Amino acid sequence: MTEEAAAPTAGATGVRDAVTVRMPADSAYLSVLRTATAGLAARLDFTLDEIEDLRIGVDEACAMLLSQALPGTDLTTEFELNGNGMRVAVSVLTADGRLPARDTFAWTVLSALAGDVNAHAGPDDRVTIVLHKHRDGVESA
Amino acid sequence: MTTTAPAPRHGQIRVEGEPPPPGGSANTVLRLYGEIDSATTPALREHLFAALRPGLRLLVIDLSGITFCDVAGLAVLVGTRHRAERLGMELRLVGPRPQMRGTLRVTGLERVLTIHPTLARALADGPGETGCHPTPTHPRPR
Repeated sequence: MTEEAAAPTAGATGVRDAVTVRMPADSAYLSVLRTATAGLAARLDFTLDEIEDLRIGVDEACAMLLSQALPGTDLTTEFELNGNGMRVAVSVLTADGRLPARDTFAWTVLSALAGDVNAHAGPDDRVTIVLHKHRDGVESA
Repeated sequence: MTTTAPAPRHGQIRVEGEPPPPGGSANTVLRLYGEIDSATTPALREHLFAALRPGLRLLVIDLSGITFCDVAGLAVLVGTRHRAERLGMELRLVGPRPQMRGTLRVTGLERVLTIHPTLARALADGPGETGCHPTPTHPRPR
């Protein structure tokens, strides 16, 4: 991360605005991740409402994954800021690679507020939820 | 007299207000401060369930000091409401901030829970089944 990249057109500096946060897969760290999310979102021209949507989106995605994370492993969150908005990929190692259920309040909140949402499992049973919150234009609801 | 305790540390929650003594007031007001997520919900659930003491008719939870609440937090509020109903008590919520109102709206839980804009309004409506009692507006000091 560079200070200069705080300018609206981060891409113009040629720096890829990408941040990875790795922390214990424990709900005690959720508030830290929400703060990091808000701080990174503020680097883009997100409105305060959109930043709140991102905070709740990242929180719900993590809470879902934490319920199936292998004990003693990490929760990894990759943020990528680009011209369209922010892409956040949250992942944990699981026992069975089961994808989060979509008929829950948590998924409802996630998909309603956090933009495009998808989930996939890798060959090592790492389960990832990806949010893509667009700046302006593409409004949910 | 409201105390001005410092805001809870990040990612924590604080509950203010004491359940009334046995045979005391039929109403209890709890004020919550901080953030409600899956890390803070176990302690919150314990607090709220403990407030549903025999003799209570109305539990009011003031949410205006809550700066963040996720689905895990809403589940505790819904669980508290169900428990209160089984015990013949009423639960009213007061003053959620915009972030929490958004989550309540998206989940449809705003139609399940009873939400008042201000504490005065929540207390002015009087207990559901009985008449309008003058109600204490602040929690009793210990």
